This record gives sequence, structure tokens and C-alpha cells, in this order.
Amino acid sequence: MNNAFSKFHPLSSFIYFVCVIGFAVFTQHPIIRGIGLISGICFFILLNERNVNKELAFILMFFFIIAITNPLFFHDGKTVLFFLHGNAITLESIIAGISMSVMMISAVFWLWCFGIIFTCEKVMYLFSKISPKISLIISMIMRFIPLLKDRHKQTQGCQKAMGLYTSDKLTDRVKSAVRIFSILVTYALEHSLETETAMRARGFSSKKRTSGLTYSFKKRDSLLLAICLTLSLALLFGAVSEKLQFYYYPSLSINASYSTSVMYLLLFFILAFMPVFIEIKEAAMWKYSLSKI
Amino acid sequence: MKRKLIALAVFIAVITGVCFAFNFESVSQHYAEKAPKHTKIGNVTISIRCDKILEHQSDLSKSLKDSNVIPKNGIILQKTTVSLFQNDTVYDILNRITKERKIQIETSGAETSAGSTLYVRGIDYIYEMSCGSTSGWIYFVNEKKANVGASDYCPKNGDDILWAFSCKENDYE
Repeated sequence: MNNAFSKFHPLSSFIYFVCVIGFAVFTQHPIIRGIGLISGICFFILLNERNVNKELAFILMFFFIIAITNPLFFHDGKTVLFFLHGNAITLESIIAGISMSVMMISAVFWLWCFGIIFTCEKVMYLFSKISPKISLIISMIMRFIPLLKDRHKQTQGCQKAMGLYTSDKLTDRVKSAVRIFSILVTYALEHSLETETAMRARGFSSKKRTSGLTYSFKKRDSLLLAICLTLSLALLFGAVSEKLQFYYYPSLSINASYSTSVMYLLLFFILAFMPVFIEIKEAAMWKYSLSKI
Repeated sequence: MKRKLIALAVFIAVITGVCFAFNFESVSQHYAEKAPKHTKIGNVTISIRCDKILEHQSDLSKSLKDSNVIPKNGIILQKTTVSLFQNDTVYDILNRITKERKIQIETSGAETSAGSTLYVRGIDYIYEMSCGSTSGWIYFVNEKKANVGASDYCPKNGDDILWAFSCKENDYE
């Protein structure tokens, strides 16, 4: 884990993620959604932890499906482009669809970043005081799917190495898939039983749980928390006073009374790009100190 | 290579199929006058009103309030005399006059006769539930509410049709 943002205290980074994802998802404003998407992608690229080439095609498909279905079902809007079966396809509903898909994809990217930064230890550290059992279960579930994936790969490799199902025939492939599935199910059941016994043996639930790792709350953590909370409060004020509202129907609400929202957009820009700035600053400092040696 | 070619061919076939199956029209084509299919059997009058919104301004959704689509006097279409053709339903008449005056209209459900599910969701950008959760478009023939859908009711010569945006239950009684 060689990124600057994961070195922050779990509490401040957790609150930061909640604020950014909350604003990026629950506001209607297309520019806020766009900022959320771009910052999420930038942060994700900077973290450079996961290879998502396979998922990228799925995400693009997702994007287009949502963007296309919205105008097919909502015909409200003043700017009619053409009529399909007597129903108007309008510019407004296309823009609303694109904006909605941008919002969903930004949520996906931000949650990926969250997953990279928030390891199981951090979840345990943060929530073990509130509810130790639930936090343990959550972190175990989060671990379980990648574990099963790895195990699937291993089993497949094993079967191939043993010379089973090496042909490309469909029947062979189906057979091997069924067999590997049954192996995986058996493994999962056995594994959970073993885990249970191991946990009992180590005295789980006999005493209050402590976290193996401790994080000290440093000055920069409080700084991050303070900046994040001030920006969020200001944004919340903007949202409550309807400065961040945006309507897609019947016509896009871009008029003079909304120009005051520029300040709030700037605030959200700062909030969303904060980890990107931090990462770039740390990388620059690292380069600079290397050059001095 | 072969697989990719097949996939491309299927994709092109689907796209052309969609283009043929769906009826694309430009805006001017949509609003162009079409020759009536049936013979004329008389005249009816039709009017479209949303004046109850003016009494319930506080319930009106903010997007409509800001976009100035609600007419000041609450009348979208003054009482107009239109021709009535054979087998015309209330919806046919509404559809024809809104096309002629270029008033936006959105419906959902099928239009086929007998037990149809057609429902008028919005006229002139004013949609159902945009002025309180019980608001929506209803129609009256000779000031009486009909008990069937708009594409099931066949009006007679000289009938008076009113499309009204009702905000509360029994607004127009």
C-alpha cells in the first residue's frame, strides 16, 4: 500500500469518503456528478492498485444502457429531437440519462477507491468498538469473495495440470465448471467450519475485542477532518437553500438564479480532488527528497 | 476472426431491424396534418384547463414553478370546435387537436380499443403528481366524469369535452 491517503487515520478518511460519495450520489446537479466522476477516476488511477480492464467494458456498457433507456421511457422536455412511435425523444431526457449514468459510475469508482483504502484492519479498527461481531462479519464477507475467486483459479489450474478437461470442447468445459463449482462449495463449507473452530480456540467472544493495529490521530488527520467537515457543511447549506438544485424537465434549469451555485461547485471540486492533491503532493515531495540525496 | 464477423453481422442486422420496426419521425413530420381515415359525423368542442393549479400553488413542484410553463389564466386551450369522425374516441380528439396546436402530450399504455390501458400522463409539460400526490389529468364530457378510459369513450355530435388538471379529489365537481 504505497499511497499517501491510506496513511490517514481511518476515522477521518471514512468520514471523507462518506461525505464525497454522499454529495456525488444525492445531488442532482450534473456538474457535481461530473466532478465526482472525474475525481473518482483520477484518484483510482493514482492509487494504481487494481487492474480493471475487464470491468471497464462492463462499465461502458452500463453507461450506454442507462443513457439510452432514459429517453426511451421519459418523453418530457421542451427540446424535441425526433419522434419514435409517436413519442418524443427529447434532449432533456437524454441529458438526464447521461447525468444519471455518470452518477452511478462515479459511485462505482469511488467505492473501488474506498475498497482499496479501507482494508479489513481499518474496518475492524473503526467499528470494533461499536459492534465487534458485525464488523468482523462484514470484514469476513468482504474477504470471502476474493478468497473464493483465488481458490477457483487455483482449483482450475490444478485440474488442468492433472490433465483433466484440457480440450476446448463445450461438454468438457461444462463438466469442468460443474466439478470446480462442487469443489468450491465443499471448500467454502469446510472453511467456514474450520474458521469457526479456530476462532473459538482463540477465545473469540469471550472478551472484548481489541484491534491488532493502532492508528494514532495526528495533526494532519484532524486537518483533513476539519477541511472535509467545513466543506461538507457549506455544501449541505447550499443543498438546503436550494442552490444546488437542478431540474432536467421541462427544460434544463440553466438561468441567472443558478449562477450563485458556482461557488458551491468550486467547494465540491476542492472536496472531491483533495486526495488527488494529497497524492500528487506526496509524490512530488518524494521525488524532491530523492533528488537531494 | 470468423466469430467477430458473425457478431458484426448480427449487430448490423439488429440495428436495421430496430430501424425498420420502429417508426422514426422528424418533428415536422410528426406535426404534419394527416388525412382522416373515417368520414366526418359532426362537431364537438374541446378545452384544456389547469386552473386548479393556481389555487394550489404551494403544492406545485419547483421545476414547473421555475420554468414558466403554467399559463397565467390556467387555460391551455380555449374552447375550440373540432370535427368528429366516425369511431373517434376522446383520446383521438385530444391527440388531433394537440398535434394541430403543437401542444406537448405524453401517454402511457396501449391505445387499442375495448378495455385499453391508455393513460394521459402529461399535457403541456404538466405531468401527473406535479401538484400534490393526487394530481393528474382527467376528462369530462358535458361536465360529467366518465367511468371509462379516454380511448374507450366515443363522444356524440355536439358533446363538450373538458380536459382538466385536478389537484385534489373531486376538484371539479
